[in-house]
Order: sequence, then C-alpha cells, then structure tokens
Amino acid sequence: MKLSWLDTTLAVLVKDLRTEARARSAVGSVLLFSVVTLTAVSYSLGGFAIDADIQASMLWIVLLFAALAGLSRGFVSETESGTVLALRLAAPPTSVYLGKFLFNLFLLGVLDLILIPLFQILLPVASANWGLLMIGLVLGSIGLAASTTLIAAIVAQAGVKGTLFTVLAFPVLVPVLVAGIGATRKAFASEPVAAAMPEIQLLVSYAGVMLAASLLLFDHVWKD
Amino acid sequence: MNDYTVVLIAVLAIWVGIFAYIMMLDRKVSRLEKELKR
Amino acid sequence: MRSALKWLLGVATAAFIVAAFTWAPEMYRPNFATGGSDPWPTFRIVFFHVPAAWLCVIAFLVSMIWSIKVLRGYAPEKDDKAMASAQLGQVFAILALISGMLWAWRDWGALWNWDPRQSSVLILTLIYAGYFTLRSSIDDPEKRARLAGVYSILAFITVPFLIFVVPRVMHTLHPSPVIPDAQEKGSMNTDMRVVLYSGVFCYLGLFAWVMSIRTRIEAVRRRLSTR
Repeated sequence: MKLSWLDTTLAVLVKDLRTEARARSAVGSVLLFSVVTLTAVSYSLGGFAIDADIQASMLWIVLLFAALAGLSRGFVSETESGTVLALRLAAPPTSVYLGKFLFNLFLLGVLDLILIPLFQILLPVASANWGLLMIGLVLGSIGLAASTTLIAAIVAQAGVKGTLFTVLAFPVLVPVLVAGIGATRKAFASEPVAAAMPEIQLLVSYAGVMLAASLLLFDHVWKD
Repeated sequence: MNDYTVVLIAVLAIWVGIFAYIMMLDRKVSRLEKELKR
Repeated sequence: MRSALKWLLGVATAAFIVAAFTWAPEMYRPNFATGGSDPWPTFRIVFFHVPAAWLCVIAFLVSMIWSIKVLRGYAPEKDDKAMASAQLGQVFAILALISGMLWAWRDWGALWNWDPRQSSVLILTLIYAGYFTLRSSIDDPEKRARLAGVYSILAFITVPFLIFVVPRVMHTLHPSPVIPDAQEKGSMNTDMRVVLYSGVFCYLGLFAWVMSIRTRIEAVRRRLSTR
C-alpha cells in the first residue's frame, strides 16, 4: 500500500495531536507560560494607562516567548521516547516536517485564541480593527511555526538541552516580531488593513521563504 | 596638530598593528606547513 | 596569495585611510539656524562604516555558499571555510556597529538611537553567535558541518529581511534620525565614491587574506591531530 505524502503528513500530525490529547503537555505548558507571562506583564504595568504601541509590543513579546517555550520540544519528544527511527522509516522527511509544522501551527492557534481574550481583559484596548489583528496573528504564526519547526529539529539532532533553541530561534524571528508588532499597532489604532500593507507583505514573504527553505533543508537535518 | 590629525595617526597606528599581527600569523602558518611537508 | 600582494594590501589600506581623512572632499550639512551649510567632518566615518557593513553581508553570503557546498558532500575544508567566513562576518559586523555607534555618539550624543539598520546588524551578530554556539555543542565533525550548515543558510535568508525590509517597516514605527542612511550614497560626489569603493576593495582583500590564513590553520591542525 503506497501512501501519498499527504497521507503521511496527516498521519504525523494526527499522531502528535493524539499524543497531545493524552498528555496535554505541550498545550498545557504553552498556555501556562503565556498566562504567567501576561499576568507578570500586566501586573508590572500596574494600573498605568499604556498606549497602543506598547500594548502591541507586549502582546507579541508574550506570544513570542510562549511560542519559544512551547515549540522547542517538538522533536525532543521523539528522541526521548525512542520513536525517531520508526518515524524515519514510516514517513518521508517532507511529511515529517509538514506534520510537525502543522502541529506547531495548531499549538500557536490555541495560544492565540486564549491569549487575545485574556489580553483584552487584563490590558484592554478601547477599539481595534480586529480583522487586521487576526491577519497579523495568523500570518505571523505561520512564519513562527515554519522557522521554529526547522530549528527544533536542528536542536534535537544536536542532542542539546537547555536554551540553545531560544538562542537560535529568537534572532531569526525578529522580522516576524517587527512586522507583527507593526500590524498589531495599526490594528489597535483602528487603521484599515491597507495601511498595514508593508507589514503584511513582510509577514507573507517571510512565511513563504521560511516554509520553502525549511522544506528544502529539512532533509539534511533529518538524515543521519 | 588638530583633532583630526590625531585621529588619523591613531587609526594608522592601529592598522599597522593589525597588519603586522596578521603578517606574523601568516608567517607562522607557512613555517608550520613547511615543517609538516618534511 | 603572493607576499608582494599582501604588502601591497597593507600599503593600499594605509593610503585609503589617509585619503579618507584628507583627500576625500569635505561633506556639508545644512545649518537650519543660519540657513547656510556647515562642514561635517564626522561624515568621514562613513568610509570605514559602509565597507564594513558590505563585507559583513558578503562574508555571511560566502558562509552560506560554503554551507550549501558542504551539505552537498562533506569535506572538512568546506566546513572550515563556512566557519571562517562566518567568523569574519561577525568581525565586520562588530566593526560596523562600533563605527556606527561612534558616529552617532559624535553627532547626536547617544551611542544608540534605534536606527533600524543598526538594530538589524545587532540582530545579525546574535544570529551568528547562535551559529557558533550550535557548532560548539556538536562533537562529530560531519554532524556539526551538516547542522551548522543548515543554520548558516537559514541565518543568511533572514539577512535580506533584516537589512532591507525591516528598516522600511520600522520607518512607520520609529521615524528616527537616520543620518548615515540619508547621506549614504545619494549625496556623495564621485571623489567620495572613489574613497568608499577603495575601502571596500581593501576590506575585501583583508577578508580574502584572513580567510586563507584561517583555513590553513585548520588544515594544519587536522594534519597534526592525525599524525
């Protein structure tokens, strides 16, 4: 029975989702981290009124750090449970990458869904262009997931624990941070989507380039 | 002898130092390579 | 590289330095108080600053090229070159940062003013610091070459974003006094350009020279360890 790459990709994704549903470790730690960080941020801001620029920055800082905390272990779980070899045999590298990428995208989606309402409660904005906000978050998440999946694979293969993932991932993600904050800032200022075209273009091109590069490079990381 | 002449001389001095250092490294490696050829 | 060439490089660079301070014509900037223009001597830092930035990008590009080659087929020399060029890229990046900070300090009194280009170069140094951290955490040479090679390629892919796209986006965030940017090549006359390009040439020569020394050292090291 020959499986198409789509089948294998979905298989990898479903496997990770099932594992997650059982242990809920990744989702749990991502959510907990984001809630803790968000609380710390809003607590330290006290009751001070902060302008939209700073709010946009805070949102993305929390998002980025929660993502870094949650996505670092994407491949480590495989090495720890000894399933690397099985995965290598069962699915072509492209499927492994795409499956993991989609899973990370799912994690980020959950993160966004929880974070935005929470943010609205603790650090509310009076009004906003919610459509633009969503666009920024979705595009940013795609770029985030694309880069971090590849880097997580590199770190897992290097067999390193600790902060190497964050060290490697954060600077590479700076373009997403800058464009995301820009778009979010404009969203909080209720500007139209058209006003954020430079940011959106950056997010789209970054996501596209990173996805393409990751697909091409993943083979080299994954092979032994 | 104004400010800019001082800076110029300082930068030149730094360059001479850097050049000498790199040249010394170059010579050292050449010597090692010759040794290994023997 | 012939010995004569190296001495020529040394003299040429010295000549370039002198030219940057003396032969290059004075740059002027508008004086809003008097309505005229004042001489702007600190502008001369541009002759050291811009070539450093160019060589930084060139060095990281070279690193990516050798990384691609090493991924195609492993050879220790290829990995050496990828690493050496990344090291030099860091050196030039730091040079660019320092000259930029010096310029900002002399002109504006602040070492850092969040100029998007400056910040991008700082991020670049962080990316490549990660590259070296990654390298140092892997023992097996082939694995190290492979994984670091992938990261080097990933790192360089972000360069166009950081150097070109991000500053454009950030201009809508922080309209900062981008002095080096505004004056860079637009308002330079031909004599200034001559000095600038000779600076690029000299830096390029230095890059090639130090690269060759660095890779020769690694080759020697390897020969010694297998004796």
